[in-house]
Amino acid sequence: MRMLVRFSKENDLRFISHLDMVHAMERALRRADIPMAYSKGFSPHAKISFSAPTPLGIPSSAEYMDVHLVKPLSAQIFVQRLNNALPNDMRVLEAMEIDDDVPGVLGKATIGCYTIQPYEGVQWISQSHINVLMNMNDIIMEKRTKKGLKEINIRPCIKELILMQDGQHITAKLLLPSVGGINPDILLKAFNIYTDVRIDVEDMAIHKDDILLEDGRVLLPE
Amino acid sequence: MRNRNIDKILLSVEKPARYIGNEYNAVHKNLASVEVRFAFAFPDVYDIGMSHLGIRILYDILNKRDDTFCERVFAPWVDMEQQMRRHEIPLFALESGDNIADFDMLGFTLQYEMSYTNVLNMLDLAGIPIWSKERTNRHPFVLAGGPCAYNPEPLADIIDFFLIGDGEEAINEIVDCYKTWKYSGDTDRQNFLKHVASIEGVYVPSLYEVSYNDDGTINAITPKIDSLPHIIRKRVVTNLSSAAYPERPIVPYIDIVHDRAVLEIFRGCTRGCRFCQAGMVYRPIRERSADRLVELADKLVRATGYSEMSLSSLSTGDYSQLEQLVKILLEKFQEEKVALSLPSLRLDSIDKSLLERIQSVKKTGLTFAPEAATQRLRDVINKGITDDDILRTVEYAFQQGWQSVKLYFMIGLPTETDDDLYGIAEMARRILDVYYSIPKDQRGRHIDITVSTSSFVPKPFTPFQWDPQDKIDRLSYKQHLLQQQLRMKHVTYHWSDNRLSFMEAVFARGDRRLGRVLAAALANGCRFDAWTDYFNYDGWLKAFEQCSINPEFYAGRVRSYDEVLPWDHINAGVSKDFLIRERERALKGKTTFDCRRACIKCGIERWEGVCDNANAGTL
Ligand code: SF4
Repeated sequence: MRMLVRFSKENDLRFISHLDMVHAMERALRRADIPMAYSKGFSPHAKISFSAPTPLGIPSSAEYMDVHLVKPLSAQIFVQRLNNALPNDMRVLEAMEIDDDVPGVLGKATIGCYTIQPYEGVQWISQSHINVLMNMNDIIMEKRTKKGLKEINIRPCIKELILMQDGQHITAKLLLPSVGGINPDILLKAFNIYTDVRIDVEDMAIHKDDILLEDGRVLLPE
Repeated sequence: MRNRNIDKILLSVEKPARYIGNEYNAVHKNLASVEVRFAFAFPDVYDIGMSHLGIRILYDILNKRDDTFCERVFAPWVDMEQQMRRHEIPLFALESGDNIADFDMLGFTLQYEMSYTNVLNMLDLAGIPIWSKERTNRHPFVLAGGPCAYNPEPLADIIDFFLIGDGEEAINEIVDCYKTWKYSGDTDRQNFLKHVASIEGVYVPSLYEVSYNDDGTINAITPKIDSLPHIIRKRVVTNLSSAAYPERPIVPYIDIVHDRAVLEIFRGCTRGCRFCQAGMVYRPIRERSADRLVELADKLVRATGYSEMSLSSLSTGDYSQLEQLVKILLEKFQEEKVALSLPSLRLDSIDKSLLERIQSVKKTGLTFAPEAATQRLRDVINKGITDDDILRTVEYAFQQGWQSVKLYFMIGLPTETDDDLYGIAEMARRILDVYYSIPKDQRGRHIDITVSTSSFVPKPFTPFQWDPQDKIDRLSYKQHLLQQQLRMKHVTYHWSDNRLSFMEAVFARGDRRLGRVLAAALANGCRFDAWTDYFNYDGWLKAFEQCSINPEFYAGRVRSYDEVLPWDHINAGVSKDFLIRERERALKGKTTFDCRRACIKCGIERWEGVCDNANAGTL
């Protein structure tokens, strides 16, 4: 059987890379005595897949993994055991038992949900700034790719952009970089270029809240 | 608390996780209930420092005390230092984020000479004066230990006190002594130093006077106070099985150099290689019992989740119960998929079938360190390995499908001639021949031999401590010769930077006049000198010039047996007459057997109850 797991990586752990997080999780699974399945061969690997990387610097409650197990285990016990073995800033949020033949869902996530808020005392985005961006047909921005800087139109990547009631938080739904989308820093830079607000990405607290399937459904149904 | 400015700069530096602490098994304490705050410093970057066992052992011991909180600090990498200086962020401890300058004690471990500028730089980054005499009660006491502390003199004006030898027991005595002084209401730092100097193994350089002869050599090193010992004797932990060992080691987030659980199986080495300082100063051999090791192995894997464990020691193959231990561990780890690696394995001392089983868990390259390529020179350095040992082992290994061999040699050893260098190429050739002599279907598809040479650095407390180091040109000539000789298919040659070895030789056998050179070198931009990319030779040469000191005086001079050596007031266990005896034998090409066979009277037999073997095996 398999376990589909959602977990978080908060606070200081935003400074560890995706690969380091994967290693930290693998070690925690071993400490927790989770009966993982291993590949055959000279250097056996635990059979786990992880959702696409969250960029360095962004805390997240939107990390997912799909773990193959050799012995059945209830989701409840799994969560309990793993949480006892994880570093404090990594927590299992939910888990679901799935059958071996159910197709994997991690690769199908296409949308990232973020909350963005400024640290105190900096200029901030208003509804009119948001309107300017959302009413544009093309928002041309430079994006760093493997081949260097490339110009892309990020407008189609912005699925939703809402200024919350308190006027402080913005929630954004963006197409994930793994499917040609963008990270929130590019969105913030677009405000600087196309509106009259001036914000420093370093002054923003960005949190990745979840990732969604193309049709907007969550990966782990209640 | 960590300064919030740090969070802001972390995204602009390489591997920010080096600076966040908070790893699994890191210790956190309620500061209100702690009486002594101790910062354990490793003068190199996190990735190197966290691979070091000593720091983990002392961290564990100090944090077992309710009254003490031991935290870690590493040298910030060049990019981070730049950011810290720009934003005026002082050096901070990983666990609490608090400024190092506010700690009670700051303890450095000195693993290699070329980390000395980092020691000074870390003090400077912390806002602590680099000169011991300029520190006041607002500053921590700065102490240092580790292998380089056997010759503490180059740092004599910088470090408040040294701990020579094993730290497991002494560190507690030091903290106790500090508490007594602190609560006595005494505010004179000198008084604490006088107290701590009475602990065995502790050396307070400011309480010793050095006088010099006209030719620049040392006349005498004498205590300034009558009650102080003339000779400081190293500390030795006699029973390793009962000694503390970290059962819940910190698990770093980033890949560090040795990213695995480490089991120290014994300390010391009695093979008696004559160039090897570790083999001399860590005498005698003290083993952990196999039972204790199996118990520890189990705990370590459970507490860390590591999928690899290494057995560590100076010469793992020499562990008396190695076969038994490896068998038990392999069995135990089969299920849990833990790979076992034996780093400094001497294949000549390990059972072949065992080798097969180790590789069935994980296959790594085959490593030999014959150090010298001819039997003659190996006899001089007392490296007890023969061509046959190597060729037999590679043959077996090739048959088992191993495809890479690494060979380590030293160049510039005493008595070396060009023939010894030709021997290196000859050995590579013979190994290739062995590979080709095995039928194609019975060997691996590739062969790749890596030959590495390091340039010999004479070290204190070795039989070669009186010998000069080869001059840079001479070493470069030898490397050049080897480059030509080793231009063979499937063979790669790596050599080391002779300028770096030269500096290492100066500081390894230097005296306290070199402290000024360190400060000048730091001012000239030298730091992370052990990293070839950052080694700044011009900065060093300039520093020597600024201080009017000739580095050759330390590296390239023949010293006579009756010269007072800068470390003569330190007793590392091995006696001077033993070292002289060994040097004379070396020059005659005579080997000396491993003293587990019979005591060869290295000097430590005079210490009551320290070497079990001393009485057991007397000739
Ligand atoms: S005292 Fe004797 S047996 Fe012990 S380490 Fe020295 S030489 Fe070897």
